[in-house]
Amino acid sequence: MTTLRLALKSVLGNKLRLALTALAVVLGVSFVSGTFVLTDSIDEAFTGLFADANAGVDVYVNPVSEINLSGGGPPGVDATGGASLDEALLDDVRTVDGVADAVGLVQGVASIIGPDGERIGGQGPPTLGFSWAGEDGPITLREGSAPTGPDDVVIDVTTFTEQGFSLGDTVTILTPLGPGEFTVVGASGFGEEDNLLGATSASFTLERAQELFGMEGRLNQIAIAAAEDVDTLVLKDAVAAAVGSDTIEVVSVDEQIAQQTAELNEGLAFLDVVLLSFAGVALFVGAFLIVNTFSIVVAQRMREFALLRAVGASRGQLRRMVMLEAVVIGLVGGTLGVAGGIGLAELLKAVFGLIGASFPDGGLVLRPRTFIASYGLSLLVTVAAAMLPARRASRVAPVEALRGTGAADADHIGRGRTVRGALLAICGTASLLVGLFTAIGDAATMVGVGVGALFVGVALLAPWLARPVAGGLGRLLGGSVVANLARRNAQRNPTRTSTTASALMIGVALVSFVSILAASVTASVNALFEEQFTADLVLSAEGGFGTLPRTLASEVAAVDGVASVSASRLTIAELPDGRQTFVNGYDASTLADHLRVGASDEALAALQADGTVLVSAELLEEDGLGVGDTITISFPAVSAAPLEVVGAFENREVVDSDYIIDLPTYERVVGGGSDASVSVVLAEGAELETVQTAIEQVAEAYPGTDVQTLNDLLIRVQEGVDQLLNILIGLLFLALVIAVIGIVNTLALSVIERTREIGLLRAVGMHRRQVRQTVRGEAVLVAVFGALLGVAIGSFFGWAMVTALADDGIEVLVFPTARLATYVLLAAVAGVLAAVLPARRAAKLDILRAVTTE
Amino acid sequence: MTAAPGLTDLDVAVRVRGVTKTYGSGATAVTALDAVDLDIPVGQFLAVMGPSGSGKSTLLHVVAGLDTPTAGSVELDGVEIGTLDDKRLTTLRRDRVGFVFQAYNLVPTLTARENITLPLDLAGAEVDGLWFDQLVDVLGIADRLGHRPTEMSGGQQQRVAAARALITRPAVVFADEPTGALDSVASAHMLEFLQRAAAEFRQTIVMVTHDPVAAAHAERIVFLKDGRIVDELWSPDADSVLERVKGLEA
Repeated sequence: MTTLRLALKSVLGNKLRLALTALAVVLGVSFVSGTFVLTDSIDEAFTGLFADANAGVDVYVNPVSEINLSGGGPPGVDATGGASLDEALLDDVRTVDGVADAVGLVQGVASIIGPDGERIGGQGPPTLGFSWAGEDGPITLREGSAPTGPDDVVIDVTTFTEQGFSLGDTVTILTPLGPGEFTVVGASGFGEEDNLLGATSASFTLERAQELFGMEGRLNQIAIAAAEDVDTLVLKDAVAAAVGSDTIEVVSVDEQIAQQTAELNEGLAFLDVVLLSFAGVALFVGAFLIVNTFSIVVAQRMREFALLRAVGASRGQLRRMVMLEAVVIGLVGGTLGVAGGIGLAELLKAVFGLIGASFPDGGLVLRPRTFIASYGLSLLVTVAAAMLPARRASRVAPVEALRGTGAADADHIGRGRTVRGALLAICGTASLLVGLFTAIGDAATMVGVGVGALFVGVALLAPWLARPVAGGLGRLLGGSVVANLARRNAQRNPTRTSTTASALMIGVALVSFVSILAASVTASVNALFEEQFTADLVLSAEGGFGTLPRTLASEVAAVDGVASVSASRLTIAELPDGRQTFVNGYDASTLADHLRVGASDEALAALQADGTVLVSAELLEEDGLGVGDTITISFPAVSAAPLEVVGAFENREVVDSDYIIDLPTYERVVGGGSDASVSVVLAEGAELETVQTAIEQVAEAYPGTDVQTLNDLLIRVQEGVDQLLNILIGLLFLALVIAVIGIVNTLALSVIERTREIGLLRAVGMHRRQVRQTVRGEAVLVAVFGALLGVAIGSFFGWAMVTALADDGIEVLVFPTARLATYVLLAAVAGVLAAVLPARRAAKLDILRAVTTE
Repeated sequence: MTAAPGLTDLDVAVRVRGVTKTYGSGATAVTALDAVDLDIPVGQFLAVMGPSGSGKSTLLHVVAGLDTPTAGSVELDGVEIGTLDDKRLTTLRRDRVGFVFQAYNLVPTLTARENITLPLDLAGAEVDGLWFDQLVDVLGIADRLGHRPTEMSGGQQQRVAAARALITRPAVVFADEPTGALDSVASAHMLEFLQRAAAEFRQTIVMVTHDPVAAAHAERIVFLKDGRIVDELWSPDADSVLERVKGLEA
């Protein structure tokens, strides 16, 4: 009990320290709990939505296909040609006993063009097209009536309201068949929601939808309603007996919902992994901060511990006292972490809403795992971080209480520390390189463990660098006594300086790494495009999302000054061993004029024969294939197509997949679909600008189509990479904030420790301004030291990663020096900001108390 | 040299008039200094004595500009310090005042040389090389200049502090129990130096001490009790000091 009381007293005795230490855990824990709250809320909301959307249906008939797009795919992948059923099946189903009603459903891509002539949704959530399935379908009528004629369309109520449509209005809708004019006859919701995750929807009659989506005579799904008093499972068995086969599955509505939920969870699990990785970085950095805080506090309280030992406290009691403090901070951190997580989830929801992907409403959901993770992680991090300092506290000799030692400057760097640091750094580097360059072990695990070990190793070794680096940097501050003191203060306790700087090092290293990777990717893609891309213009869906109606290519071909046009299509497919892959369709006869795929003329000529395929050289070797072999690839629409390998292509990077087939073959095995992109080669003597303008006029009928030169494309790649870079840096910002809090905490504790010294300096004539400058100088040195370590490690990661990716087309290694230098400068600024509070505290110190304290 | 009333301003290093210092307020108020008047002529080595709680340290703090009086005025080197803001007061301490504290006199990260020149460095002023050499020579620390405080004995540290106190040729050097933490040999060395500084360099020195032997080195001693000056002794020796002290405690 006494131990607990002493621990509580100590924790509550210094609220600023408690607040800053807890804050370090809270930020990381909030990220974890926020992730859980967000994904649990989405899960809950969707489970309700699925139940709602499937209301009125008892049994579904689905085509069997393992191929689905839930895992995403390259931009331009054609999602319209989903697996399908023969329409005749519908009549068979209707005759089954116990079936009250059965409806056929098709679905595809249909972009609504707003009154301003722009594609609604644009680069955001998908633009979906459906066949109207009646009142019992997932899409429910909110206003107007169901589509009855070929020109009727029902659009989602969000688009309807926001774009100011009225019933009876004419609307242009872009489908794989090109732009078409329809009459708005109704507005729909998705279950009780206004829309599906912010997607737009356009519903047509079944016949019209089949025609628009290239599904004549086929269906994506059949929904069955049971007659009264007919058990769902009995009906399911009856339907299965009537129509079920290897390629046709019959599922009950519950199974269907379970399947949809499983698919959703797969997507959410991915979101979890991404967000939790960043949370992990934040917690890792937070742990550094806590280790440092506890070490400093324990060092400062050695006399107190010695006194407790002298009056009879056992070592165990001292250790428990320090550990209890950690537990208290851990509990506080866990509690605030849950609260912070709720706030963060709310914030993320708002951010998703801003970019157009609104989640179904339903409030935030707190499941047990949120609490378990928050308290568990918070306690784990604080207790683990306090372990070493607690042991140090327990080892103090009682006699220390009688010695008048002030706060000791520990300029001694332990031998054990150096050895452990070197071992960790070496093993970490080895693990990282093995993970990147060899097939030994799981690459992600090897790299992750390697990076973590390397960070800790460098942090342990950093004290050896702290003194010379701080010394060298300190000279940049000038030769004044203030600069001199700042430099010496940064050097006086190299372990403390290093641990504080190391927290910043981690964030800066990761930011530097992604910056180097981004710059290298951009440069490599530039080089690649310039070398392998020979067309003059490219048409693609705005922002690289979605596809182009296939009518566009033929219209462009008719433009004056166009020598040849090449449409490219991309579909998802499956290999016999179950691997999911993608397949490109090109016009084999003109491909060589548009794209250097790195295939011989003979191979390209052979490709023009039906049922042939070119395989990337890499995969050909990997799978041990040769020319003349036949591979069987399953496509969504056709169960399996045997394709003869007629050659290889080298430049996998410009193709987006490992397989190229000729367009006629593509049409046969995949179906119509729409184009990923259309490239244009100009006729000799034709003016680029003139032709571009003419093509742009043609494309005006296809809103959301970009007509770009090679240069435009490169700019787009750059923008895409930069956007991703900014998101990553944004997520890593949290780790940087925690590191800066760490600097604040260390400085604040150092200022308290140096009370007498500062008082003395003030007494002999140091101005308050000079006191602040001294603290600020130290902060800047610590921050810049951390940033330099970070840039160095990040550069190493960047080099390793880019080298490892050389085979995947990232062949140019670029160090964005200006950017990296900016990070170091920003770290200096962060140092200045971190110093504000501690510097003020130091400057306001009561001189009298300082010089008279014993 | 005399301390007769009617000194001209030029001859007075410190002039204290009606200085009162009260801590707290209302019923719990404690009066540390009670309307103290004191003139310290230029070049005088003054010792302030008194029992614990007599207010001798408070007097030193108030006169040196480390603390502000509740009432009354303090003139230091012709400047009324009560009206100065923190910035001017700091500058005054830096340029016109030297300090020697009982312990913890030196900045641990600075060498002896850097500690000595600290006030000048803070001011961005040049070091008078001749004066510096003379001081370190007299104090016998010439071979210690490159050392950090932790590498020096207590006596050496105090001598470095003394050199720092004098390096700016201040109007007054304030010494708060400067020998309190020293052994008798180091203590004697320090007191002889202060005596010499007053005699040879006309350095005004105010030393607070409870040690009659130390006080006996001064030219004049004022005795404080309950915040008032109750007695004064000129050209003392250890025995006469002891006698007065006993008288005070009686």
